[in-house]
Formats: sequence, structure tokens, C-alpha cells
Amino acid sequence: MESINNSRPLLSLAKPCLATLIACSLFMTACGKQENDEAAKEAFSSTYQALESAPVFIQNATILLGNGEKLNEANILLKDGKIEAVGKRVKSVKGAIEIDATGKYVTPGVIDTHSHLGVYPSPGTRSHRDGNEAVAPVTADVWAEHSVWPQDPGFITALAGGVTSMQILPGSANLFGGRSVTVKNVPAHTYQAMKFPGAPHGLKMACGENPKRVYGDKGGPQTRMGNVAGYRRAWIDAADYLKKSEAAAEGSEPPKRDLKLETLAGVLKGEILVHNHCYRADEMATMLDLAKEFDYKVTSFHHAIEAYKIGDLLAANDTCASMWADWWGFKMEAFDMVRENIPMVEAAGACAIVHSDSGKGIQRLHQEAAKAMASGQRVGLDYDEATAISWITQNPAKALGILEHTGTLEEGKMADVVLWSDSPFSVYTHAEKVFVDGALIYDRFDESKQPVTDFSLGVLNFGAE
Amino acid sequence: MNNISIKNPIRVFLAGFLIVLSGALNAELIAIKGATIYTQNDQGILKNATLIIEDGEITAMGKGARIPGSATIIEADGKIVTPGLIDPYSYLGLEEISLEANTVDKRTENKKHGAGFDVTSAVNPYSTVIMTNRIEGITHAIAAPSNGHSVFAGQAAAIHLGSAKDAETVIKPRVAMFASVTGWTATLAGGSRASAMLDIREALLDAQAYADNQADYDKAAMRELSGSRLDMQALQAVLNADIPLIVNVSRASEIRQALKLVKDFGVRLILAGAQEAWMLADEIAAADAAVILDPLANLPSSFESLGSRLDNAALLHKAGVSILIGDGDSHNSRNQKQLAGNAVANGLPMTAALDAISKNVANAYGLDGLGELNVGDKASLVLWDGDPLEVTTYADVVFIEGQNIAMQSRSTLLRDRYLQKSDLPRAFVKPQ
Repeated sequence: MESINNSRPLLSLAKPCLATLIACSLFMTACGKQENDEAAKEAFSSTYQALESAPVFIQNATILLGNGEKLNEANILLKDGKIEAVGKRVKSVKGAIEIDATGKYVTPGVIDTHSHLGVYPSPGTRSHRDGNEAVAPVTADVWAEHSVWPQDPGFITALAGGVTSMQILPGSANLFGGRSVTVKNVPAHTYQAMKFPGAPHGLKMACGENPKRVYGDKGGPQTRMGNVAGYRRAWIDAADYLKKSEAAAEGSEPPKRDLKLETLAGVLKGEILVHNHCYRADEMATMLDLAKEFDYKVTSFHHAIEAYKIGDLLAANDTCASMWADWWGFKMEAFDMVRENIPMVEAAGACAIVHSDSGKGIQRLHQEAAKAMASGQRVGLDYDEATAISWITQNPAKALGILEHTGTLEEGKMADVVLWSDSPFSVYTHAEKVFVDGALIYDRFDESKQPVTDFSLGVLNFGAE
Repeated sequence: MNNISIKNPIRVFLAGFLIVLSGALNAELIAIKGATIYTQNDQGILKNATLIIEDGEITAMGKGARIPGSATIIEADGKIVTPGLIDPYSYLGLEEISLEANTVDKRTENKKHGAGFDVTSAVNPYSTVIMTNRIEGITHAIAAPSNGHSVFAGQAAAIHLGSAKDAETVIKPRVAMFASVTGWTATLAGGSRASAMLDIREALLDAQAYADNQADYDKAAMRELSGSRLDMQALQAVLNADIPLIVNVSRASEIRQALKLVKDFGVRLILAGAQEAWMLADEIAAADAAVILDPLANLPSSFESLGSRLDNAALLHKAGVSILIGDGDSHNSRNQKQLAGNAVANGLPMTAALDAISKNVANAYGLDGLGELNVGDKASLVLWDGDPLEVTTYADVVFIEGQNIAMQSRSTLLRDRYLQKSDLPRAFVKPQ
């Protein structure tokens, strides 16, 4: 992954590449795979820039670092958009905004691995249904970011719930639904200005009922075995495409760019992370075998209602499970819910994540993590707040390939920080202040720090006298 | 005297005690000792009180309640007892797996069944969804119909979530009439909310005419009516205000139109959904209409709910409106307490939030002996291991209609199967 320089977006890199792309289309033979790759990589690149901010010093807080550690009555200093220092003896600096957090909690910004904000935005009008290109079983060529509507009011409500980063995924109607995008949850009028600098793309895959249901009468797949045959056919094509592309570096004719295969080849090269919607234990095991057959990695299963049955397998494959605390029963493959799914996956030594898949749920991932924590404690899986917070901070950051930048409160990382009124694992607690790269983006008590999207202007709560 | 402490259910459970325990608790005489009892009536909160359950009935409650020597004692250690929670708008017993049509009985496309559709005969007492939710403190629910082909969804049943062996699951059939005037149901009426409202008004007018001319109707000497005989009969209870008419509405204009039904037909109105209800709080209070709402509904998820906000519940309560809390996700009825807790986090007083998931629901549907704790009533109550509205709290003990509920569901059995260490395939691990 490229290193990130917040103050200088990668646009400068993108421009020469764009020129290359034009040149390539005119003189195909003169251009090799390298220019193709460069062009693909730099298309639609991030223009995100952190807001300017004075240093921030928060003192006397209970700090959950996100990595399993907890500090009582400790301080944290945010400077130049980064976490400068965390600990009991950390001092303020000149010109810092000082906040007394006695009785309050500080955690890393919350990260959701599974959101459809922007692609299924509010209001959910017919013309806003942009989250799923459900026209063919394989639509690996579509990119969720090209559907993201930055004016979705759901981004702001998620911000009020402490969410600072999220992965926006295409829907799950297809075997391969397309590329996801990871964004920083900052108000912007273009998605490029939200795009997490340097974060890898994800690829949405889906097992089980959805592809069958959607395509069963449209030429297939109609069965689970049809699903698997569909994945394999696509990977065979991708491997072939990758081989030809790599041969082009040796001087042979490169294949014409194919957006579908470009995405799948990106997975085979390890540049794009697989996020696989999958409920049943047996199907997850099948998908792990599929990944072995074609030599790629499943970064995270999503929903994974039966993850508790195969925690050891997830741990052995270094595959995360992004789960709900308690959703179940809406379809057959979601029947075997146990409340303890998340702590049981943690206990198996695998990477457990609480995800939302919901504009409502993303606002209170901390409450969902609390439910998961309590369910475990009742059966002797005694994970405390310090571990439970990792399910919505460190572990999702890992699954999105951004852990070196955010997800824990370690020195040098992005200052994505939430100040909570009390323990985030209480239903009565609110996020009071949310910092993204050190800048105060949301403040519960200061209207000037409560962003309002274009859509919301003049229509929301107009009846309020 | 048996002194059984359920202070630490984990250890107890893993030692396999809890099963023995529920056996022991099925004795006829049970004392919950040293509890903080939220009576939800004039007695308010009783601290360090004892509650005696004899043959399933609450026979004594209070600080000085004498504990008979033969009683099985549950040490509450100051923990909270509340009335059992009641889901005001669910599909419990009517829907097992949402996407598997033949496990779903909540709606009909049968054109003869509009207002007359009655879910009572379809209620399945052995639903895993019921099991899953009762062990977390949901003791009763309204099993409601949903709209199929008509703006009328039909008639709901009030059910208990306990064992069907000892008591009929439906405690009150045809307990309410459900209808809907929203953007979605407008499409059922032809595409306009005005058509949806016309359908409702015409049906009520026809039901009045039917009642006035029944002899003619039976001789087939009456003008054609907008609904079937079953529909007309079902609407009589609405016109007589014996049961509430529940209307799904979202935006303020829909709510205002629904309120007119109170004045024009004398119906008892309950608004469901009602995201913009706060805008008309005083009018709703004046019409004595209750509101069923989801306190988490704060997104402008459609053009009819642009005014959604988290303090809807608090604002309505402040105006004197009786609120009921539920979000219609029956598989997770158990999250009712989380919804109520969030309402408190957004300005609703705690006792009002508890009322909204117990007493107010019982009152709105006329369920006597539920929603509060009174001596002489069958025990439907929950002993919680913490603040009943906290997300980290669980039910330790649940009584439903006098039954002491075994704290087990398909979910807990699956959990126990996979928590155990075993060298054999899991299919041989059979938790009891």
C-alpha cells in the first residue's frame, strides 16, 4: 500500500497516467501492461484532505485503545492530524484545545466493514437504488463508488454514532457484485473527497440464497452448486487474463482492458481484498477451498451467522467474520443464529467484527458490540470493554487494509477519535465529539459542528417551530 | 427452605444447574426475595421487596410479604423485577422464516378477506421465534396482520409466548383492526394516499350501513358494499370502539387525515410508525390516540418521513400522548428494551419508556392483568440481571401467565452444542 500524505492528495500522480491512458488507446501496441495497471490504479483517486485543526488535548479519560488495552484516567494528545501521544503522563502543548473528560471515554473512531450508505441512500426513492447491478451473476466490473451519493443524510447520522470510516459495498444479488470503496466519514460533495487515501479496493462476493434467488429463473445459477461453478468459471478467466497481462511485460501483445477481469485479477495479485457475503458454516468452508484452488485470500466473511461453528477454520485462514449481534431468521440461511457468535469467534482466536449493513445500525455499532460482549460474559467468555471495542475499531480496520493508518489509538496513526459521554457499551451513552484526522467534525453540543447535507437543507424537521 | 441464588447464571449454567433449577422452581410456591419491583401502577417502585407466586398467581408483593416455609426462594439481591414486556406490533407466531412463503401467514391475497382477515387461526405456538424471544423477557405480543391486497391488513390476535401446553396461546382473538395509509399502501389502493383514505372511509360507512340494514343484506336486497360480509362484520367492533383501529402512517398529513376518523366515526385510533407524529403532538393528544413508534427511526428514509427524529417519543410523551414502542422486527422482539433505552437516551423518562413496552400496550389493546404487577394476577414478569433497558442486561427469570419459563431456545441449544469440547462430530453433542 502506498504511504499516505494527507496534505498532498495523489491527484498529481493521476494526471500523467490519464495522459498515458489516452496515448494507449491510440497506440495500443506501443503501450504495455504497466501503463494499463497504472491507469487502472489511479483512476478516480482520492482527493481527501483533512481539515486544519489546532492540537487537541483530552485529559482524565478512560481510554480504550482498540488493541485490547484500557487506560484509566489517562490523556491523549492529537497534533497535526495524528495521535501524538497517549498515556497517563502525557502533557498538553501550547495552543492546544483542552478538554476535560473526567468520567468520559475515548476510543478510536468506529469503523464499519459493511455499509450501503450513499449507494442505497435516504430517501429510498426508486431512483436512488444504486447499490446493486443485478443484471448478471458476475458484475465484477462495477465500482460502488460510482453510485455513492455524498448527500446521503445517513453519513451524518452515522457520524453522530462515532463512525469515522466505512466500507461501502455493492449489494449481494451477484456472485461477484463489484468493487467496494472505503471512505472517511467526512462531509463532502464528491465521493473522491471522502475516499480513504491509499485504502485498497474490496471485491464483494456472495454465497448462498441471493444469487440463486435472483438469477434462478434468468439463466442461473439456480443452485448452490451452480453458484460455485460460476465462481470457478470467473476465476479461470481471471487467471488467464492475468497470465496474458504478465506476459505482455515480456513484450507480447497485452489483452484489451477488461474491467471485470481487471478486478478479479486484482484479487489474484493480492491488491483487492475479498469481502464475501456468506451465512452458513459449510458454505464458508467451501469458499475457503475455492480460495485455495485459485490462490487468493478471503479477507472477511460478512453476516457469517454460523461463524461460531468454524471459528478454528477462520483463525487458520486468517479470515475475519463481520457479524451482527442478533439479526436472524429473515431467510433460511440465517436460521442458526446464536447470540454469542461474536465472542465465540473471538475465543477461537479469529478476527471478530461487528458490522451493520444498515443505516440505522451503523449509528449504534457500540451498542451492538455491547450486546455481543454481554452475551459472551454470560457463558464464561469474559471479554471486557477493551476487547469488545476492537470488534468495531481495530478488527474492521484490519479487514479493510487500513490498520496501519487507523483503528487503534497508537502514536503516529490518524487522529480518528471519539469522545463518549460515558462507556460506549451503555444504551444511554452518546458520542459527544468525533475527530477525523484531528479535526472536530461532529460535536453533540455545538450546532456549528453538526454538518447538514444538501438534501437535508430546508426539508428535514421543517415542522419544528 | 431451599435457598437458590441465581446471582451468577453463567457458572450455574455451565455447571448444568440451571436445568435442575427450573425443575425446582416449578414448585407451587415461589418467593422472589429482596427485589426492586417496578409495579408500573400506583405503588410505583418497591425497594427490597418480596414477591410471592402461588400456583402461578401473585399472592403477595411488598416489603413485608411473609415467605412461607415451603417456598422455593429466588434471591434477587436488589435486582429489578418488571412486568413482562409486550410487543405492540409483531408477526410472532405468524412468521418463521421471512423469505419462505409457506412459513409466513401474516398476509393474504384472498380478495374476499380485507378487514375480515383474521390471523388468529394461523398462530403457531411452537415457533422458534417465540422461544427465542420469551427467554429474553418478551411475555406477550400482538400478532398482527400485514397488508396484502387491501389497505386493510385485517385483525390481530393477542398472544402469550409461554408454553401452549397449559394455556391457549391466543389470549384474546380479534384484538385490533390494522389498516394503512402510506406511500406503499397507496399503491394497493390505486396509487394515491387519497384513494387509500377513501377506501378506509367507504368501508366504515358501508359497515355502518350494513349494521343498519342487516336483514336486507341477508335477503340480498341491499346495495353493493365495498367489502365482503366478513369485512363488514369485522368492522363493527371498530365502529363500536370495542377494539382500536390501528393505522400505519408516516408523514404529518397522513396523521392528520387519520385523526379525522376519530371525530367522524368515533373510532379508537392508534397510529403506527408515525415518524412525523411529534409535529402534531397536541392534536394527537386531543384525539386520545396512542402511537406505536420505533425510537430509532431517525433517517428520512422516504419523502413521507423527512421529519423523522430521535426524540419523537419524548416529544409525544411530553404532550401527553400514550406511546407504545416496537419496530416490527419480530425475530428480535427482544430488542424492545434497546429501543426503549434509546428513547430514554433521547429524552424520554425511564418510567415512561418502561410503560411504553408494558402497561401502555396492555391498555391500548385492553389486555387486563398485564403490563403491571398486581396481587391477584397471574404472574407475567421478568427478573433482570441489571437495568432492564440496558443493552448488556439479560432476563434471569421469566414468568408467563404463571408459567416459570425454562430458559432455553433453539439458539441456546446450538450455542451449548458448539461451546462444549468434544472429539465426536457435533451431531452427537446433545445439550439438554
